[in-house]
Amino acid sequence: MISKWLLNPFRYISGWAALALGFTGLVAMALISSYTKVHLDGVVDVHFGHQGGFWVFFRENLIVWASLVLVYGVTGLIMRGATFRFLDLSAYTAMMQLPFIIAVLLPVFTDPSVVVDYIMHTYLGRGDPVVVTTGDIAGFILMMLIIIVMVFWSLLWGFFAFKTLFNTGGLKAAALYVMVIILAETLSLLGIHILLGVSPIGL
Amino acid sequence: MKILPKTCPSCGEAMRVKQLHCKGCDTQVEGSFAFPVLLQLSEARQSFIVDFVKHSGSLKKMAKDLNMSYPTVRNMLDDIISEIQTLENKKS
Repeated sequence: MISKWLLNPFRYISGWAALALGFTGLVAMALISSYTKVHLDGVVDVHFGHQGGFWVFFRENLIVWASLVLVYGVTGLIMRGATFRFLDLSAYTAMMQLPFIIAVLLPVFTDPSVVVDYIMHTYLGRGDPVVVTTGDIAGFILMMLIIIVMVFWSLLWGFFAFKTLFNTGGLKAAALYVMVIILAETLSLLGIHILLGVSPIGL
Repeated sequence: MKILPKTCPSCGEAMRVKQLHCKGCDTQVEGSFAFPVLLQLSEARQSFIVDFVKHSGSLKKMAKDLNMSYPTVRNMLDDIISEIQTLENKKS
């Protein structure tokens, strides 16, 4: 049951309970991020930075959520008319970001800032010179691999949310979902740029 | 319990009722009768409809009892509606 839930929670949860879970996740991720400085600044974006307090991270999460609600909502209305509940749409698009909790927690176990600073100095000419060890690089690569898995997990949940909300499936639905994600990603990047003004990771 | 076959095991065509029998007086009626639309649905879908009626048509209550989400149950109903429409269109 747990494995089924982890693969597709939308079969088992909906309504206010799902919205509470999704929204709590967004708040929790912003809280953790304010310590670990992991920015979820796009639908499929995970970046390490040095800046930002709780509200910066929370607003990033809200903008991503709003972008998903908007793009999913418009697509759903075009595809199926008003047959789905806005409550479920809001809940599922918040919940599909939950796998990123693991991504924002990763710097607790291994600090990526040394490698990030090294890359910034070496390739972008910013900051002071940094010495990195093999351990730092190994930890960073492992972290990247875990983040890639989390991104795929989130996208998988997004697809199941899409299928459940609009009762669709097959190759056409998969192709449409890819377009939805690209649109939502673009909208979220634009939203963060316009509403937060500066790039939160300081680039 | 025997399961009523709805399609021909040989060619896949929809089955029809050829003979009906009264257990009380042994009367037999012969002809070629089509199954009612609901009987043409799968056992699972028939059972869903029975559950739906028992829950007074409340998908919320049904979702709770089946331990499933509301949209999942709603989708099951939509699929049944779609199949019934297809069967009715075939009939007409």
